Order: sequence, then structure tokens, then C-alpha cells
Amino acid sequence: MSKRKKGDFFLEKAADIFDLPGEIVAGMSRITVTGGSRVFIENHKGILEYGRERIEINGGRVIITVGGEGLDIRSMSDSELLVTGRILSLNFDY
Amino acid sequence: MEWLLSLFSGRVRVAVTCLYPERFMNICAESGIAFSDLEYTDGSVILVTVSLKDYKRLKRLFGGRFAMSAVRKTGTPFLLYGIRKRYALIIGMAVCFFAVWIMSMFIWQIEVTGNEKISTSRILAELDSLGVRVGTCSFNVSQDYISNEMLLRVPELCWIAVNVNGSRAEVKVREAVKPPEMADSSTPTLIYAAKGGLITGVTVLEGQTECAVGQTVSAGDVLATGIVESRLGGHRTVHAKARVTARTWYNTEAVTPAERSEKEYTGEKKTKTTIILADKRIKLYIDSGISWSHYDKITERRQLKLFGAVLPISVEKTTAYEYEIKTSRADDSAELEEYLLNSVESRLNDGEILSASFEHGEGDGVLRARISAECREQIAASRELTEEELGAVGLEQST
Repeated sequence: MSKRKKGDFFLEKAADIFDLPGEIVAGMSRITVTGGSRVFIENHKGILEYGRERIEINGGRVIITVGGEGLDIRSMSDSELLVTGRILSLNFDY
Repeated sequence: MEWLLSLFSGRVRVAVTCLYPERFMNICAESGIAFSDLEYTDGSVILVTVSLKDYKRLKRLFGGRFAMSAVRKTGTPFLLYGIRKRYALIIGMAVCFFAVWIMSMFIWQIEVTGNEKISTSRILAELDSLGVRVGTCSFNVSQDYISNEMLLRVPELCWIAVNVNGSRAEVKVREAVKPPEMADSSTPTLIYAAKGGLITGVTVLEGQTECAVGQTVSAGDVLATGIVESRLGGHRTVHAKARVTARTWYNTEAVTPAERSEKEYTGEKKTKTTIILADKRIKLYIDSGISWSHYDKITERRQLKLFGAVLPISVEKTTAYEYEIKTSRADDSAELEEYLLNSVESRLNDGEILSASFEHGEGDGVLRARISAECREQIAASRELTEEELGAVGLEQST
């Protein structure tokens, strides 16, 4: 584990202990699911795999996998990502 | 909203040929190039929409590495680029914008709110005399000066605010509420019969009674006097107050023409349109005369608006409807009876009609109706005691 990752780990723990917003303190990804058709991810670190039925997103210490049908990346910037389509699953790989 | 702003600043739909779309997306994200509406088609072609500013950066970043082409360009910069050689159009647009900008400096609509008793036309007339009218430059309107002057000129107002928003002046007013008149209870008065009748009830609150139930009185007879005997001897004066109800009788006649004239529209109409530019009228018709002998004229005026903003242009439509006068036999006996009943009721002072009978007749081209009504009403009225009345008991009128 690199120094950066160690630092992130401690910041995440500190955010948990002191009940601070993790997305601000530790730069953790914040995921907002609206209905079954929109997933809005803040603080992402890039896309690992892109397909119409599966999109893998680098969330820093976790890989977020959005599964579904007819998935689209509606918009993307350096920190925000909006996935639309029929969302069937949301998996986290540590 | 963001989409609208980006459309204003220009948007480009870009087709990028690349085998690994994730790579392209990650490089875009790392470089701060925001894109939307990503579409991945077969044949390794990605379609994304970016802003014009990001499109230039995208070309710098990927121009050499990926095959890239702009599929669609939308937004104001491209629109302006497309018409860059149409000089007349550009000049026209510039003139139009300039004209709108200039026109927005003038007041084209004055709206008065909050007035109930004072008419809007009076307020507008006073504002006009102070220089605030349609066509006035809004920079010349001193809101404090206008408010102060208006309060002096219209004393019925207690507060006024003149707010100029662009080409619209909003005048908010509040009317002054007058204090109620105080009842004078110090002047010596007497109560007299305002109408003749048969007294059915007497209630004297102050003063000395001069009448009784069952007595017949004529108009002017004294019902209660304000001169009362003093316990210490002699007389003193009071402000007499009394309520005297009596049965009264009314005989009134009303007449109406035996034949009546009614309008009957022929269905013919003529419409004339006028455009009013500020205070200049531009007629959109040639023949202004109407040859019909009888017609009604209805004028509608509509102020033009552009996106809610009032323009100094009004369209006035005047429609003339032709009609003929038809004479028919009138049967107005019911209307006459109703009119007579209303006429008697309006003459009653806090009373009611107990019974009424009618007589109808016709002659000299008119219909006649006569009412004989028996009523019950309050007949007491008060007046000041005269010097003679006071002198008769050795009192003097106080000043």
C-alpha cells in the first residue's frame, strides 16, 4: 500500500470516528442513486471499463460496478460522473 | 440551465475513433474536459458533446492520436460565424438591439394599484402634469419628488410610491382614511316629524315628549323638545334624542311611453385597425366614413408585449355594428310597478312597505301606473332650537 493510500485510509477512519463528511475529508466517492435510472458519482478517479451493460468506475479505495441495461455516460467531468439507463446492480470491490 | 448556457457559448458534437473508450474518457476527465451525451457505436467510434472551449482543447490533446471530426456544431458563436458576411442582417440586428436598448429607457406603461375611491384617470392626470407620462425618459423621473408632489396635489392620498422598472412605471397608492364625524351632543335641539303619519311608537332618549302613540302628526310637528323643566326651577336645554315610528302613506305616479324602440343588429360590421406608436396614430385604412344611420362602435386597444416587456406599440381595433330601430308595443306594467315600489322604498327612512295597491291607465301615448302604499317608518328628525323657542321660556342661545 502506497503512502497516498495509507493516508487515505487514515482519513477515512478519522471521518468515520469524528462523523465528518468523508467525501470532503478523505475524498471518498459519493454515490447518489435516483430511482432506478440514474447514478451520480462524485470524486471518481476514472473509468476502468465501459459497456452498455456494465460500467466499472475507479472510486479510489473501491471499484464501483454499475450493472444494468442500456447504460450511458450522460456527462462526465474530472470529478463528477452521471450514468443513466436501467440500473440493475451496484457492486463494490475492495 | 447549464445546457442553455453552454448552448449560448457553443456546443460541438464530436466523433472520435478509438479502440479503448475508457482511455479517452479518463484522459478527458483528467484534463478537465467535461463532456456529455456519450454514445459508443460499433466500429470504435465515440460520440460526445463538448463545449466550444473544450473542443479546441480536445483537438490539441487528441488531434494527432485519434481520428476526430465535428459532427454537429450548435450555439451562438457558430450562428454568428455563419452570418458573418451578411452585412445587412448584422446591421439590422445591431439596429434592432440598439432600438430595444433605447426604448427600454422610456416609460411605456404606467400601472396604478391600490386606489379605491380616487380614480386612476385622476392619478394619471396629476402624474402627467408632473411630467410622468407614456414616453417619459425613466432617468428623468425623480421618485421622491414625484411622491412628495403627488401627496400635496392629491390630499386624499396618504402614501404613494412610484417605482420605475425598465419601461414600466408602477404607481402604488394608499388612500387616506378620514376620521369619523363626532356626534354633537351639546347643541340644544328638538325632534320634529319629517313626514306626516299616524304614530305607532315613541322612544325618547333625551328631552321631553310632545306626542303620543295613536296621534296623527303632520310634517314639521314637534315630537319631542330639548327644553325640559329643571328640578331647581325654571328650564334647561338638552340635546333631544328620540325615535318615533309612524304609519305613512304614499301616492306616486309613473309614466312610460306606450311604444318602445329597440335595437336590432343587422349583422353588418366594419373593422378599422390603427397602430399607435407612442402618441402617433397610423391608420391602416383609407375610408374612415361610415354611411350607416345607426351603429354601435366598440374600440379595443391592445398593448404589444415582447417576452413580457411592454412595447410602445398598441393596436386599436374599432368595430362598428349596424343596427335598425324597431318599434314595438310596450307591456311595461310589471316594470312600472317594480319601479314605483323601489321609488317608495328609497324614500323610506328605516322602514318598510306594509301594503301596496296599483292602478293602471293609458292615454296620450303613455302608460300610467299609480301606487298607493302604506308604510311603517321612522319619522323623527332633529333641528336646533331657535332663539324664539328658547326666548319663550326665558332661555338664551349659547354661542
